[in-house]
Amino acid sequence: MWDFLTMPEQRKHGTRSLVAVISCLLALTCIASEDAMVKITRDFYGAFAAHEMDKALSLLSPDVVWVFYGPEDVIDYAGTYKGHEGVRQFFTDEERTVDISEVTRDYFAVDGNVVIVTGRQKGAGKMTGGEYDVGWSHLFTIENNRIVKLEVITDSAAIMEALLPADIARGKAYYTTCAACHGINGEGNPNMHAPRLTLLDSDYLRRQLRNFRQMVRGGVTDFYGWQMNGRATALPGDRAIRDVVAYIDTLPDTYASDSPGGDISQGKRLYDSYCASCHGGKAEGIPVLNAPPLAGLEGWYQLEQLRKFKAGTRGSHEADTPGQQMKAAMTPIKDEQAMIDIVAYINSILLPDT
Amino acid sequence: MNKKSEKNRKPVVNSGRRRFIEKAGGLVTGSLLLPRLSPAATLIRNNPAKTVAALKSRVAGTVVERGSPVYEPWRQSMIWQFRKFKRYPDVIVQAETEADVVEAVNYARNNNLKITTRSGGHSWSGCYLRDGGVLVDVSRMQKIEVDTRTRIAVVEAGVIGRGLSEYLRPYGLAFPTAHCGMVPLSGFLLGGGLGLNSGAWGGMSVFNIVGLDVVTAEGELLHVNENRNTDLFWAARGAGPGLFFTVTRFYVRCHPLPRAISTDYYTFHYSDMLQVVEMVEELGPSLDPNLEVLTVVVPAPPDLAAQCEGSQCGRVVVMTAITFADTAAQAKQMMSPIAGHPTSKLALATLNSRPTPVEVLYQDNEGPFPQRRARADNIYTNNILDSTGVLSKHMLLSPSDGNTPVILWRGDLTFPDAACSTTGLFYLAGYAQWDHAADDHANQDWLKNFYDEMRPFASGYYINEFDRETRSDMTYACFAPENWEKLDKLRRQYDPDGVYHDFLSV
Repeated sequence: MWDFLTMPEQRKHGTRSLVAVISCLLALTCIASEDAMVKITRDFYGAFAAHEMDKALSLLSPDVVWVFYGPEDVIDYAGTYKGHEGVRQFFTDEERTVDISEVTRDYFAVDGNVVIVTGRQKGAGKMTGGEYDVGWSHLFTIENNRIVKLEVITDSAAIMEALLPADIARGKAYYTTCAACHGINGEGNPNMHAPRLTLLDSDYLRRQLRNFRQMVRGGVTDFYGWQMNGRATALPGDRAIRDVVAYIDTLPDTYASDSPGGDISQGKRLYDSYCASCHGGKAEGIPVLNAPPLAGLEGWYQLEQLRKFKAGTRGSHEADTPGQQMKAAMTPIKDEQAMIDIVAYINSILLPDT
Repeated sequence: MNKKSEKNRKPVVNSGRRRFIEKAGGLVTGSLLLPRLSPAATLIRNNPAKTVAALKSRVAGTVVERGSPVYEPWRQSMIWQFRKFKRYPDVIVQAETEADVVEAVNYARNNNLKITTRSGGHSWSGCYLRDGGVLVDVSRMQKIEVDTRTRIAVVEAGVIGRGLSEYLRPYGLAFPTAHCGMVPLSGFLLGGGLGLNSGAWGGMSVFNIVGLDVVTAEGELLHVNENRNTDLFWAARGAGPGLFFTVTRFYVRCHPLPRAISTDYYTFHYSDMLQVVEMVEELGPSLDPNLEVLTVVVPAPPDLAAQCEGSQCGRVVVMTAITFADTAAQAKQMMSPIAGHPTSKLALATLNSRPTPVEVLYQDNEGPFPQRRARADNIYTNNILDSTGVLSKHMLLSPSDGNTPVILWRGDLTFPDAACSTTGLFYLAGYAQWDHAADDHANQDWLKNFYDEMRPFASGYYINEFDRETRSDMTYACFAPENWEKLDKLRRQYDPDGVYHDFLSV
């Protein structure tokens, strides 16, 4: 719950922070110099890094005012909190609302008795999965060597977007950019190497759209991926990704068998040995492993992705961990025929109940 | 139903009998060219939707009015590029069917709202996005069928170029789409369409159109071809963003797919640009019409930049010669005048006879043109030396690495009588591409200054890549003077109340 103010590297330096806190307390009676005021804020961050809430609170005045500016009807931890209990409540509220994955601090500056710290934070809404990446400023007002006020000024609109539920009506608007290749009902178009979207897992779709936006997948050497880089970036933000995937999820599932041929029994042997541990015994997918269901996916599409993983056109980017795993998993799949056999097997066992 | 409209109306065909074949289906013959029209559509015009609510209840597609919480996502989704033009229609109608288009037109006319049409939104200037009125989006109308005997394809208005090419390929057919496959066909064709292999495939792609289904300002569905509704056929072939009706379906003549499309690439030092275009001008008239010579200026690849000496090493000139041939031998023969020319020997790097099927041509062209913030301008010219001099000067002033000019040999072409009427021996386009709004002005100014200086050398302009935001007062120059006059006359005749927006005027 302390992630709000945590820098990863500072977690290792709890002892140093403790020393800092003590030396700060010793200096309480002195008139704070600029350095001393900055030190208070650093110590404050340090105490958080060490997960030492009591020590952090000891740097705050008992009447501290803690303000996070933002829409309180959407961001549950926006608003004004008072006193040490208030600050504890802030963190409880925040932890319930968002998962913070990364915090960095950039600058410390002093003006009068205010210390201004700037940085960035990445996180995601716990209920929505909506991701955000925002800059922030912390304004610490310091009196008598205690923090009497902390104001958090950040791009709360971006955090709000991450917390708003996906909106199917907005998603349909964004789908306009998809339809010319993937079909007006997400049915796909093999002629255009555009897979059917309706049976793709929603988590997987969101992850891939993010990958395309961040150039983790695609690139100019992967022509169809390159087109997706443009189209995914045209979505105006992470919320739009969630919106369009929510819309795709409403489209009717369609299924048309298109096995590439191949030896099903040989495919089963390979699948059971090399694929099943992540994608499941019936290719139903294992979400915690980021392994999507393969059930019902078009044969040509599966084959094309296997080729890309084998060639390293996909799964080579350092930020694409699941892709890297998949690329590594292709090592024992020796050739084109083996890929065709695997796809033939998947298609043979996984006709949907319909 | 008045008499006049009765006479022009197409016979009603039950929509259930539409014979669009499926992807893997058989070939269509026979009734392919029968006009098709849902019976519902003919009833609509006598009883138009009066309110947005009524319109919503009557269309199969989506209606979004200004003020709706989803208006801005819809408005922005209408625009392909990242520069989201700040123009705001009153109502956006995303049509599912031709009948939806009729509903939208009738709603607009009866509410004194102007109409524009959008297919894929792939516009440099966002001509379809206007303040006020109804924006009709036909992008979801995406069916294609082809009659392999007559080589005529029926293509709905939402299809993009690559979609048509990929559809036609198994039938051994091709169509002169735009050089980037993601360009939707509608706007491309209606503005003339400078497409693949234009020397052999019609000069401009629009001249491969044999008919269209359109919805007029009166909400009538008409089939238009060289014998029927000939004024509209004349206008549809080139008036593009100034059209006073909506096209829902194209009937286009396809070409046998060349079996051995291949490309020679010659990369030159920047300072050799004039010599390169001089060579193209010298050889052009004798080149095979199935050979397309296209010269671009791109950032120098690192290996070439390393061996480059002197100044101007940041960019190189790449001349590509694309042969739409059937055999490798034929291709080689078509290429030989260029390969044997002394200027070609100056190339820093050469790559010969690379097989480049249409799919690869798309890859080649789309690599340098991803979706970004974008603008374009152009001239047709008969004075390649002076215009290239201006180009060479301004490329060195470019504020963005993504800014790319293209010099295309056109030759001495003559067109059938249609709105599309400007050309020149060469086509010189300038494309500005950048990432951040903060750089909008720098790139706009760069492109404007560049093309202001090109104007004395222009024999005309290509409407689709003409910077209509900064030069809307010059739109007339995209047409021959008499064609511009005729277009104006037809507009007044067929859309006397100005139901359709005129050309973009900013």
